[in-house]
Amino acid sequence: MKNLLRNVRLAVAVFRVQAQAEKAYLGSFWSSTVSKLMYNAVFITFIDLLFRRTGNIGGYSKNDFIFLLLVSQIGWYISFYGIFKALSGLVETVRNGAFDFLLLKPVPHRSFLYASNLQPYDFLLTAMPSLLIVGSIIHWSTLELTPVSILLGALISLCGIVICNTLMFVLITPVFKAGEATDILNIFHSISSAVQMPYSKLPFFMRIMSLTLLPHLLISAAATELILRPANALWIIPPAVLAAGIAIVVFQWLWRYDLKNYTSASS
Amino acid sequence: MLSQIKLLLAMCWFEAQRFRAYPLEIVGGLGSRLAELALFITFWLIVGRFSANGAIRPLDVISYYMIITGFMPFFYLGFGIAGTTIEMIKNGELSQVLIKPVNPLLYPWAQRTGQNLINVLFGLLQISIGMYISGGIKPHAWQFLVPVVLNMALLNAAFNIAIGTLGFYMIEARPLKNSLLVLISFLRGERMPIFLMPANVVGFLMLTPFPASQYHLAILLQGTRLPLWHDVWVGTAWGVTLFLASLWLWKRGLRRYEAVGI
Repeated sequence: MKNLLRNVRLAVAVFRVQAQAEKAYLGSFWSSTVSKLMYNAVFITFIDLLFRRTGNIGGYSKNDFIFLLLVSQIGWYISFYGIFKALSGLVETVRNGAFDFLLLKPVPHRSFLYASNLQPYDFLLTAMPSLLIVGSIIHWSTLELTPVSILLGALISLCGIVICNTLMFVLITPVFKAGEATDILNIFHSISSAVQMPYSKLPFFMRIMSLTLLPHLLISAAATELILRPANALWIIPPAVLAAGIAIVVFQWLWRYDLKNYTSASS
Repeated sequence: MLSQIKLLLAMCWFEAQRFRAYPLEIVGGLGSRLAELALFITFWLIVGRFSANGAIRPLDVISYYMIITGFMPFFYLGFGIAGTTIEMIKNGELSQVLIKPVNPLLYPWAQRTGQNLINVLFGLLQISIGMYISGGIKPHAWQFLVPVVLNMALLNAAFNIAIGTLGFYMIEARPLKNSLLVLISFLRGERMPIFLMPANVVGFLMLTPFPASQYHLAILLQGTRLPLWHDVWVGTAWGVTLFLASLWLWKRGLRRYEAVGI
């Protein structure tokens, strides 16, 4: 409890500093908002043109696909701000030597690392408008949503995020020894691109990959399938929960192992 | 001139040495490309196999995608040069470059080419596989090759220079660069093949510089379609105009930078 309160206080302090930085660079804020709006506008145009050509894809209508876009965008933002930013911050601090100073600080190191790179203001102010626009063009009445299916979708998405965190941490482990993992870290962008597809139509191999190397398929495609057509994807819940459990254990162990073996790669 | 080329090649080689120091970065670069390819191929296989009217042949789109994204490191289609230029201006590195005996416009080109070496090799492999799947360039299409490649080089040089110039006017030009990249990559057929778009959209796009900056060469190497001469000339007109305009913008921005700083 004491540790939790300490972490919360730390996060609040970090967010306050970040809010001041956001206000100082308003140009950055606007261009970032435009960038996110542009991405969604282009993707919706792509869906529109594709469905004019194909009718429907794997039982998904155009409306279902826009919903899939919304789910994948929410998952992407959570993993980008919650995982990618933290780990790119870690790589950067190891490279420039600041990680040594972080280890000297009397704070919970992992919490500080994740909280200091979270950027909730950037998420709320720049990503929210585009999410609201995508949400507003979905015909919600035609989607068969139930509270249970939404909960199942959220659960599978959470499993995907946990797996993604461990995967990215495993991938950047060389930074502690070799002092560089920038290109490896960029795998995040590749594994999170083009994941908008009907999960039940994925080949078996790709479904297995979604539990390990391509977790964004769980975060977006499997979550959407569970929300829209729970019967098609119920089977994925036990293996996904198991994979997420293993991912947590691996992450805890690897964090301790890496710190133990860390010998200031930047010096 | 020769000494300039030698210097630029030396810079390029120096940047490529990064992979000798960090060999795992090669694995990272390859892993990224393979993951992207796997996801894209799966997407179009599903579209081809499970779409209502079966109007799309997956192999056609997959070979197209492999070729069109294989060009990325050769023509800096991700606006990497623009990004490097923006960074150089932002962190003041440009001031150091200006006092060196090297062209400040070509400096980021040499730097980026060295950093991109693995992507160049992978791009070459991708283009070869894409051409193999689709049959490759046909004998009667060779006449298009030189003007189409020149158009592509001119247009992408112009885009990189012009977008890089934004750094003279904005501190945080990178997000704007990214949004332009998203828009342009769609308009030039990288996200969705232009031949799958409705006729009225295709007609409009062919009047813009974008298809000539990537799409024309992709269909040419694929060998299943040909660009129209009219569209190629439209691309040439855009290429020359935009390239000259981008040089003018660069000189204007540089004058401002030298006069008042950023």
